[in-house]
Amino acid sequence: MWEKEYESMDRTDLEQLQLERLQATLNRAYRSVRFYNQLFDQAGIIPEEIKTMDDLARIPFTRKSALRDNYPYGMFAVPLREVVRIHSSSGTSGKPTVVGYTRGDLLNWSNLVARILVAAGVSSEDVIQIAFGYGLFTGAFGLHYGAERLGASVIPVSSGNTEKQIMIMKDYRTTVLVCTPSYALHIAEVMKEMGVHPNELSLKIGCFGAEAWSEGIRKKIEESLYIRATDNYGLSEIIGPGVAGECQYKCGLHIQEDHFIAEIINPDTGERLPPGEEGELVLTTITKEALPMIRYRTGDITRLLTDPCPCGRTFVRMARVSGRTDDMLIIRGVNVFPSQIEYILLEEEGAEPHYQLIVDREGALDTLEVRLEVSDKIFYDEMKLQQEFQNRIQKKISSLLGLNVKVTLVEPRTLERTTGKARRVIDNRKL
Amino acid sequence: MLRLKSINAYYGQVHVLKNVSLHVSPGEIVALLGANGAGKTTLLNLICGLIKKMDGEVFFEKQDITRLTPHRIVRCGISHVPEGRQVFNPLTVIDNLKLGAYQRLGRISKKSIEQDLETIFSLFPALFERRHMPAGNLSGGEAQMLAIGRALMASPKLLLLDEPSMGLAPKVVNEIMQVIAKLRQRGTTILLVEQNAVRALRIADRAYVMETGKIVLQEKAATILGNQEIVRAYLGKSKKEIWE
Repeated sequence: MWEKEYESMDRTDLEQLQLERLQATLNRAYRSVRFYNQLFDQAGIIPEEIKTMDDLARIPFTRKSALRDNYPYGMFAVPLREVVRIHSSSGTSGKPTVVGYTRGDLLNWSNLVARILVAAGVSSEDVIQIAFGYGLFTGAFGLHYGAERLGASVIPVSSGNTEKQIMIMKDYRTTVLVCTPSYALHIAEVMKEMGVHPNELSLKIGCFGAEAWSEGIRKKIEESLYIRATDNYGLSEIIGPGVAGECQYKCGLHIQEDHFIAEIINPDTGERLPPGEEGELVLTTITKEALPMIRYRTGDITRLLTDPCPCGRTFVRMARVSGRTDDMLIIRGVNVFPSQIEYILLEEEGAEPHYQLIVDREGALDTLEVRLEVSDKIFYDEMKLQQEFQNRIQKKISSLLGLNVKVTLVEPRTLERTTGKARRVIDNRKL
Repeated sequence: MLRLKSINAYYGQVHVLKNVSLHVSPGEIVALLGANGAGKTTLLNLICGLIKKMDGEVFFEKQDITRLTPHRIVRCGISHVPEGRQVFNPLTVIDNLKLGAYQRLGRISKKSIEQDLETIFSLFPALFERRHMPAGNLSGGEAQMLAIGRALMASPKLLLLDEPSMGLAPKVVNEIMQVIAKLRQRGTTILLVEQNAVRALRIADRAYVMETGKIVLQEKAATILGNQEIVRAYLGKSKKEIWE
């Protein structure tokens, strides 16, 4: 264990620590963040009334929209000059969600990621290849700093150029691969095409995250790369990777409870559910300085496992994420909301409000196709204009999401119409 | 060792401690920091049982001491060195020290009191030299040592120290801080209230930062010391707006 004094803490001591940190967080958020100040006042709650962990359930939820409504820095609890790092993700309706870190936050973050790496079996002896895209997303930098904190050798390859990745993996004797599970599968396939046998690599462990994946995929990755594949969980609104991770027993992901309080709620009623029941994961940060999040609805469906784990960590575990409460898609580790695409389409003249998103998997990689009905005017116009229109939309969507998408124009009234809720998304992937 | 859960306390109508939770583990030095009037001294007084208008829970070594009277609390193993020393000026140094063992009289032998006195004198050689002098003749630093020595005579497991460096010359403050570090080596757990944040953080393991009766931060002392931003944000002026 990386921080044994915390990770194997006595539950009574842990609950005391959580209560202390929660109360300090509430005091800070109420004092420094206008959003929380108003949220508490409107709900008729003052921070002093939260005396036990059960009282936490009285506080209203915070949703992703809070970040969007307070774009860019409105949710920060410290002055901007205390913030030393800013990340963001493509938010809904065109506005990204911005997250900030103080120096203390970065220190905690690296330690949390170091913990999940150690839990997965990584040590300072390892050579870690980080094949997440470096940039505004939290994945690559989170793992990078955590691996450095651990003292491992970090290769910041970033994503893409699979053949080069494989060459590096082989020549630099990479022992740990960090990427999305689907990219790991893709690497395995390209290796096969290149005629590289897993025995030629030094790879031992895979730390995969940023998208939901099944035990079937895990088996496939483990068999084709000859590694132990572990799952970890995080989201940038909370901190990024490092929120929870699997230990060697792979029986759920230990949630780092000395930094985050986890609840499971019924997504329809908002009511808190007892341990073991499946529902939406709600997280509260209790050490974040720059961006405290109180009862944040993650949208991820899971359940909490409280039985003791043989690894000795006393933190509660979450089952692997089984789905979403909303229509968010995760495509190659990138969060995509259909509403984001809709927002772009509706800005374009000539586009009809009828579209369909087709998500598929070619080999191991996800693809996204946008099928769009266009008005008669555009369709019968010159070929060149039509091509331009198509390219423009494709460029816009691709740059917003940071993903290559395919745009197909179809004739009016050719997309399936339903009487009920429109079936906007067709997900053909078998996860 | 010590565990406070959601403490609220009042002076008449004034709400002085707001939902304070705090713990001290065995062998730790925990510093309680914050500006004047933040509620630090009130919190120590409350632990000693001196404040009655309160709610919440105080546990010491798994025993509920929330409603115990001050003398029972001392008997549990908590000693208080109050702000401003509060030694008995007309009494000699040695009599002041013996008074500290008052709670133990009748339960322990005279001989062990003599032994404890020797221990105190070895910690504070200056007090030995002045043992027959009235406490009122001592310098500020010596009086502080006497106050700590008197508290130690109750052979506490937990020592509550309220502003031990107040009004003392920097050189004397250093001596007092060294003594505190020495006490920890001897196995005494310490909850230390200090206005001199940096000095307290240097000898403490962890710290709580209080502001107007509330705890706004709890962190390892080394982390706070190594992170000037926190010091600026929490120990300095509070900033309401991000854009200044």
